[in-house]
Amino acid sequence: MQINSIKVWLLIVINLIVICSLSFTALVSYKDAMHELDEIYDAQLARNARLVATMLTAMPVQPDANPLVVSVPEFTDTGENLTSAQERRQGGHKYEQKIAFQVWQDNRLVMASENAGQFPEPMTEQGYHELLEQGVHWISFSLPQGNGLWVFTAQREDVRQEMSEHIALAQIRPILVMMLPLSILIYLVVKLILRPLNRLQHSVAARQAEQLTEISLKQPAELQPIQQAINQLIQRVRHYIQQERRFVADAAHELRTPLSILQLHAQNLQKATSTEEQHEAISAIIDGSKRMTHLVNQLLTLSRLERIQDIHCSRAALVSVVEDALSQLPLPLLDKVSWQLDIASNIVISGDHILLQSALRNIFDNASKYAKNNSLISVVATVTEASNLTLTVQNQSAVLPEPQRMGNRFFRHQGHQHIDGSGLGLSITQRIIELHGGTIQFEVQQPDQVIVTLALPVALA
Amino acid sequence: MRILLVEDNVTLAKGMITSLKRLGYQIEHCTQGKHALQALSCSEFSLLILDLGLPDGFAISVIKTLRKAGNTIPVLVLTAQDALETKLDAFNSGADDYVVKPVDVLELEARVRVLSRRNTLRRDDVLAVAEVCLDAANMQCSYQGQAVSLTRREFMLLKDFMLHPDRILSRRYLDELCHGWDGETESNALEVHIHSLRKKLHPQLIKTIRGLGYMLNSHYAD
Repeated sequence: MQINSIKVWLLIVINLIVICSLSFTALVSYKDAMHELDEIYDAQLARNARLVATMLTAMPVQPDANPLVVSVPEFTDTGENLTSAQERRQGGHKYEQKIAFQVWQDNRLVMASENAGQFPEPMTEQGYHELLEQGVHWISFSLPQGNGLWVFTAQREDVRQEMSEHIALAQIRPILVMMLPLSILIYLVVKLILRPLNRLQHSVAARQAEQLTEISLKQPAELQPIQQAINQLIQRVRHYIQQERRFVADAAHELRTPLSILQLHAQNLQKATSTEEQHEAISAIIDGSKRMTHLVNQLLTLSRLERIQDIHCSRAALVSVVEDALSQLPLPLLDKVSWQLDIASNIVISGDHILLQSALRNIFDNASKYAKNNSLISVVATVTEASNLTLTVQNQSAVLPEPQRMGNRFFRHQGHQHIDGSGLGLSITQRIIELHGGTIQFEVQQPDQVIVTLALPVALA
Repeated sequence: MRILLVEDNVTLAKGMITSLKRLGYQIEHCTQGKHALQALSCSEFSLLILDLGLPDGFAISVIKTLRKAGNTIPVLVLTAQDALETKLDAFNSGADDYVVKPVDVLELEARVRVLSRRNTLRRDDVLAVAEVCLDAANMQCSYQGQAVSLTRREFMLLKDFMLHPDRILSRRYLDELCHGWDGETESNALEVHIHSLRKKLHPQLIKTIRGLGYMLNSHYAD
């Protein structure tokens, strides 16, 4: 059993509260009963003394006569098994043994109950006393009359002790009897109340990374926000897992394809029988290793960029950075489309030019590589009031990629697999723009437009 | 055996064609799923080697389309993707084998033979009809226990005849088997190969069925 558990704590605390409150009630009623009992017994002692005193004052005894002894019947003690009615015998009651009295006249015993011989000296002080005679506790009451007459009544203390034990037992017994069914009831109620929590726990535990579905249990109001939060978490985890899988699949494709080319053509070269076959294999190997080199270079660039924290900033006109980037494109790509630049010459940006150039070059390279032949690519720069530069590059593409996956490492649209590329260019661009404190956004617009929007802080001239 | 290779990377495809041709197969190549479906509907192939990431979409749908149309051609998926999900998806859609790139061409060829064996309910790669014996694994042929040396095209033809004994193979099919889509179909190259096979083995082994094609006669000795 776990100690740190809501259920265990609830059970312990509720049971403790029930036990404490029952015990407290029992204690209070025990005290009350004992107090009332003491009052009755004490009053009886005093009243008996007064009764005897009054009678003897009316009928004085002879001073030299033997003391008058009131007999007390002897009954064998049968314990506490009989009912009160059975205890009431014709000749009296066994408890008469436990009550005694003495009457003294001028220091001489004149009258006593049979069992009062054990009190040799009368208590001369008026009032209640507690005595210990021959190992027995007595509660006594002494009543002196003015004419040298003393009345002394006593009651054994164990009568009251017995009574208090009975009353205490009477209080404890119901607690003992009630506690077991009560705790079972408490256990059942706690279990019932905690059932939704249990179900939620099982439901969460049963979910595996491969099959992350949301939890749709009917929950009490307190658990609904927790279930919602778990569901949101599940959604996010599912999204990340999906992203991760796609990344691995994309990376596998980009890395394995050039390796396959190299391996296959190297084997072919080994077995080539004609120079024609040799040439074909060799050129394919060169092609594959070029592709691999490009991929490795891109990966290294990306990892270098990831380690850089700050950049060397200098100011330059945006137009010149864009033109430099365009001039780095291979001629066939430049000539494939027509370019429309709309950039004010007074826009000055601050940043690392070489990095910005390669970022823009990657965007332009992609824009023309995947554009339809002889289509238009427009590059438009606008400066917003908040001194932000927005640079929009828009092309007309034969196939539209998913914009939310653009910029993901190794992602290449399936319709573009026949076009050379590593799938890392836009990731590099994204990182460079982030280093410059900017953002990059990808959008597609039906039927054929892909729009890349860069937002960069601008350094005003 | 004639194989259709669907692979969007042309350099890779060229290398595979060269290797597999050397191992005695006739390969046709296309780069898109829809072209593959067209090719399969108008020509006969013994196997389909399919890359999954194609320009016109994920190629699992190609397998599904084929199976839905009742085409039972063995499909070997050859892809760079090794995610379990993709593999299961491919197998559940009707793929017969799944190979992750890069693959050694010898392994690929062995898997092709396995699929061919399974498709023709054989346990090994030795084809035997009467006294002619052809070992597809080692590309060797023997007649009456004597080794016979065959050219690549003769081997390819004989293998297909022995895979389908006593069945008429159309002239067009055999032409495509020998020379591929871009071969010279009007020439009498096929007759030359068949003549040569008859000479090397038995004159009655391959029967000409006029107007239809040719047939391997397993009871040529009778």
